[in-house]
Amino acid sequence: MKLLVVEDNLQLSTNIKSYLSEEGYVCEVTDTYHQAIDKLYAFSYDLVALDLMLPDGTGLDLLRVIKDKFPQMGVLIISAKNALDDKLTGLNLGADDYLAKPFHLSELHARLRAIFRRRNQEGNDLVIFNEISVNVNTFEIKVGDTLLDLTRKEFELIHYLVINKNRLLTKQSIAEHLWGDYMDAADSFDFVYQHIKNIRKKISQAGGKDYIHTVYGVGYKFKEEE
Amino acid sequence: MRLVIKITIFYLFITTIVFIIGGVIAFKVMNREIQFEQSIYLGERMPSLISYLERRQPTDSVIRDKLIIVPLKDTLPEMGPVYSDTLVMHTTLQRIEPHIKLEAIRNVNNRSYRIIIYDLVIEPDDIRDIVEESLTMIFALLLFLIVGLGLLGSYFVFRPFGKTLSAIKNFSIQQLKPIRLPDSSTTEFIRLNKFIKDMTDKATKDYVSLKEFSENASHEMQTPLAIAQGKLEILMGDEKLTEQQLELITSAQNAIKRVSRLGNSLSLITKIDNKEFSDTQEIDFSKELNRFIYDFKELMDLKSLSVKTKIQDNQLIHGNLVLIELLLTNLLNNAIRHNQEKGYIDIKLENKKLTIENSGFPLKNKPEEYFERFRKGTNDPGSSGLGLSIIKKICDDMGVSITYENEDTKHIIKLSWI
Repeated sequence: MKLLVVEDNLQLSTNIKSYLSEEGYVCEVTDTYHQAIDKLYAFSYDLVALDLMLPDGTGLDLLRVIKDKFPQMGVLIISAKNALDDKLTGLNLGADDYLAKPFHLSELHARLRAIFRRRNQEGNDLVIFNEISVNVNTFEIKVGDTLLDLTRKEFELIHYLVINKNRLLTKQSIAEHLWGDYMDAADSFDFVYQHIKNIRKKISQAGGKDYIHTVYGVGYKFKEEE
Repeated sequence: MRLVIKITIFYLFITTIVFIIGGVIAFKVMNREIQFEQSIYLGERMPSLISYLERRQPTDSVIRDKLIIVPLKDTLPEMGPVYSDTLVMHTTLQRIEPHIKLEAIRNVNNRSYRIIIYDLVIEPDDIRDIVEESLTMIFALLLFLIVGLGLLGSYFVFRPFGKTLSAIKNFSIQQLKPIRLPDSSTTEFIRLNKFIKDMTDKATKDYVSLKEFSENASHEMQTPLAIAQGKLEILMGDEKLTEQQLELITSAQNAIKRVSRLGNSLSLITKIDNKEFSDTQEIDFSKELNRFIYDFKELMDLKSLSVKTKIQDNQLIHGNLVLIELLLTNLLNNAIRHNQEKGYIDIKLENKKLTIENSGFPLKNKPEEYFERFRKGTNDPGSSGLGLSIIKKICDDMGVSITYENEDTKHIIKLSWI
C-alpha cells in the first residue's frame, strides 16, 4: 500500500510514517500544497492522508485536484477542525473518510485499511490471522470453518484487533473505535473488558486459540502465543 | 416623552416668563407715555383759553364741561400749570371717574384768573386690559405655530435620527454586515452616525477576531496533541517496557484526550454563543429521541440500568439538527455517566415536554449551579464539567426552558418547548 501523507506538521507525519511503515505501508510525507501536487503527478499512490490546513493552500483544494485527476486514490482527511461544515464539504467532494485530531495511530491504520479495502474490492475481502478469517463484506468471522455468532460491536472489535495485530491497543483506543465520541466516561473501560471477555469465550468455544493478551491497566494485544 | 415635545414645553415655559415680564414693562411704558401725552394735551388748551379771556374779560366764573375759570379778587402772581389727579363725576357715564387736572393762575388785563382744566384719563386698569389681551392673543398664536409647525418641522428634521435608531435596532453583529445609516444634513446627526458606524464596525471586527481566536485556539491545540498522542503510541510499541511504564503512558494519553475534548467543548460553546447553528428545520423530536436511546442502549445495558420510556409520537419541533443531536447526546450521556450501577433512567416525552429522571448521587450544591461551566458534581476525571453548561447553552439558543431538580439520589431534568 502506497500512502502519501500531506500534513504541514512534520513531527506528526513522521509519527504516522514510522508507525505505518511497520504495518507494511510505503509511506511518503509532504508538508506543502505544491509539493503534494508535484508528488501526485510524479508517482502513483493508493491512499492520501490529507490535512485541511496547509501553509500554501487548503487541503480541500488539493482534494478537488485528486478527485479530478486521480479518482482511483482513496482520501482520508485528517484535520484539527472538527467543524461540521468542513467535514461535510470534505465528504461531499469525495473524501472517503474523516478523522479529527488527535487520533490513535491504530485508528488511522484501521481507517486507511478500510478505505483501501473498499476501493480495491477485487478478491481480497478477507483479513486472515491463522485460523481466524474476517470477512469485511458480509461482517462474518470464521474460526476454522465455524461461523461465530457476533454482535456488530463484537465484529468490529475482533476486526480492529486483527488489523492491529501485534500492537498494544489501549482500552481508550478500543473504546473510541467502538463508540466514537459518545464514550468519554472513564467507566467505558469496563465495557471494553466485557466485550473482550465475550469474544474470548466465543472464539474459544469455536475451537480457536486465545490470541488476546491482556496488559494489565493498559489494554490488549492480539498476537501469536510465544 | 418625545424630544420635540420636551423642547417645545421648555420653550413655551421661557416664552411665558418673557411675556409676563414683557407685559409689566409694556404696561409701565404705555402708562407713562399716555400720562405724558395727556398733560401735553391739557397744556395745549391754555393759549386758546388765554385768548378767550382777553376777548371777553369775564367777571363771573365760567364753568363748562371739564373747564372752570374763576376770576380772582386780588391780583396774584402767575402760577403753574400744576398737574394732579382727581376724581370727578363723569356726565355721560354718570359715575365718578379718575381725571387728570391742570391748575394754573394767569393774569389777563391786570386781572388774575384761576384756570382749572381736567379730562378723563385712560386708567391703568384699561391699559392693563389692553396689554393682557394683546399679549394673550400673541401668545396663543405663538403656541399654535410652535406646536403645530414645530411638530411638522421636527418630523422632517428628526427623520434621519429615527432611521438611525431603527438601523441600530435591526443591527445584528452575527450577520457581519456593516451598519447602514441614512444621510443627514444635521451636524449632530452626522456626528452621531459616524460614531455609531465606527463603534459597530469596531465591534464587528472584534467579534470576528474573537470568534477566530477561540476557534483557532481550539484547532491549533489539536495538532500538537496529535503529535504527543502519536509519539506515545509509538513508544508503546517498545517491547521492553514494563507494565508500570505502559500505565504511565496510557494515563498521559488519557490526559491528552481530555485536553482535546475540553478544547472541542469550549469551541462548541463559543459556536453556540456566536449563533453559528442558525439554519433551522422542522424536526421529528420523537424519532430523534428514539434513535439516540437506541444508540445509547449498549452503554445503558453495560451499566445494568433499567430504562423506561414513554415517548409520544410525532412531536415536531423547530430547530437546528446538529444542536438537537448535541443536546440529546449530552442529556443521555449525563444520565448514564452520573448514574449508579443498576440504577434507572425514565424518559418521558409528552406535549413538547421532555423529562429525564435518573438515579445518581446526591448533589453537594444547588442543582442550577451545575449549569455553570466547570462545575462538577464528582471528582471523575473523565467529566469535563461542561456537559450541563452545553445543554443549557443549546436550550437558551433554541428558546427552550430547562430546569434541573435533585432530591437525594433522584435527578430530574425537564425541557419544555412551550
